[in-house]
Amino acid sequence: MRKVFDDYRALSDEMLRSNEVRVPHFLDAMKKSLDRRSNWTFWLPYVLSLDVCMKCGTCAEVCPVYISSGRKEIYHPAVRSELIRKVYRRYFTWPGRLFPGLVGAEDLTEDKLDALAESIYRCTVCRRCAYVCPLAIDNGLIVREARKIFDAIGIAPDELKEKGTRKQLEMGNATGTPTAAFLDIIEFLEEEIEDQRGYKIKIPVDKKGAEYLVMHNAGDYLAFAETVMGAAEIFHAAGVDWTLNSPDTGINDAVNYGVFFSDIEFTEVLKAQIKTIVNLGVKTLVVGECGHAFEAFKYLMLRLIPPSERPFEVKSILELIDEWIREGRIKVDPEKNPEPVTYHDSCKLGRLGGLYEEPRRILKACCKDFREMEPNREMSYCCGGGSGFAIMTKGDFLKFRMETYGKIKAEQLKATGASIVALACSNCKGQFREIINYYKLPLRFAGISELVANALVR
Amino acid sequence: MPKMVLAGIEIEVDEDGFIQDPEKWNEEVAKALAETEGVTELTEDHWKVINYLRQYYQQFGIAPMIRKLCKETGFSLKQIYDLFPSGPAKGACKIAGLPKPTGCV
Repeated sequence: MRKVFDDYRALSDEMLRSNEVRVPHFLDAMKKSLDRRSNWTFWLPYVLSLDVCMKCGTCAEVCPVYISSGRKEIYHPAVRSELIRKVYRRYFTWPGRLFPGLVGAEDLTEDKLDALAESIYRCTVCRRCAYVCPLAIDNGLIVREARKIFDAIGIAPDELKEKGTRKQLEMGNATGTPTAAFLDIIEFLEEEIEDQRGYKIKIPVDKKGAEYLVMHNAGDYLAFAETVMGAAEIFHAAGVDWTLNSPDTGINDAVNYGVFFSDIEFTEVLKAQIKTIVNLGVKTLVVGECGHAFEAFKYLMLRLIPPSERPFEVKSILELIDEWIREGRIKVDPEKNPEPVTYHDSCKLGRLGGLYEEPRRILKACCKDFREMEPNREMSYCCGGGSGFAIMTKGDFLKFRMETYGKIKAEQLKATGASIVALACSNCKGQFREIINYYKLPLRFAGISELVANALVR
Repeated sequence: MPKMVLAGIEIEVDEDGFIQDPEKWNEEVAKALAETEGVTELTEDHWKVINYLRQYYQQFGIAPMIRKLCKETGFSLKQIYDLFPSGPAKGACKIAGLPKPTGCV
């Protein structure tokens, strides 16, 4: 593919439409994004982040892409934000309009627009940089706002939009699993649990009025079934009233790729999910092992949907398992997981969601030899699957993921000496599957639910 | 949509090289697709995976779960990666003429 920014491409030529005039549309959309009334969700931190960078470079020192690329300036977080700031100053501030050369304002050209579109898809919005910025500037937020502007002019990765949010709204899940296939999957999982554990359990589907609705990332059924099986065993062992849901009920996929690139797509998906949950009349929505879905339901939903329209509780499956182990509702034996296990903090669950201790308490209770990966918690490195990257594989994009984020993660993993890395997010699982394969690492990944199910004492 | 000539037939493919019309698939097309994936020879083991993928897709309109694919073909995931270096979704599904799997898989 044609080179527009670096050796990789996240967006095809067809998507970029470089032969069309796009700059005026981009500027219109950007104008809207800077207007508090039409973009109120994160307006204040967004414009403050555009206004106040002092270019100290602290952000770059913690950025996984910048560090692993051999400190290439194009991947410097503040340099990336500066691409947007130059446009912001040139077209939306008085000094930039009058004296562009003096204030670092630059005209936006069609070529620069191509480069900018690609640049914002080299950052996973892990927000490690936001955590260390002395001025609390959030480069991740700037990237997300830029992705929104591009989406408004019709430029968004098709994995996230056409085959993501659009497909999810049409089919009930982004994988396109129809109900018959879903029911076949459930039957297979029941058989697998019986084969593996020697006991039968019934996995409830579409049970109205259940106490808990467990909504997984639908990709887990197809690619990470062990997580779904583990969750079913845990809920069964806890003896609670629970259910999964099929596409017949509406949306049966916790994902919401709008989190990564569009408030409009985000809201449409969220409303369809809420409608499904309300129709099922459940008390608590349990978000399966999915980082961005947790952000969507636990935090973003609060800013967009009034409490009266979301009459249910939201819990991460990690919060529930942790509670159940501590109160003795489920019994676990760490001897059943004797191998050394480490944990990777998902950015969305950890740095963004604050779930640091829950997974650790769970793993320490269920595994004999738990080892920390260094650094961890707030300073955990993004694996490189975040913000949709785990499912973006155009051209050489997988190589970009492996040679930047993946390289750091592979080194971290090796240093732990663990034979299992526990993960609580689907995008992380997709990325680790590739990292382990690419770097031929002598370990496997496992969902937290899988390890807990292994440790269950019946 | 770009077009590719596979086994002498002009077929529409997406940006990742997945064929768009499953009806146009045949064994010769599969061999041509395999070459685009760096698989030079389709052995009996390859065909076992391909045939299962196609059969499941025809019945349910979607690729099967990876766990089920492994169970039904008797291959471990590692063996499937050995047969199809790009993995079950990007490699095996492409050669079997299925659309590219979507969502977090």
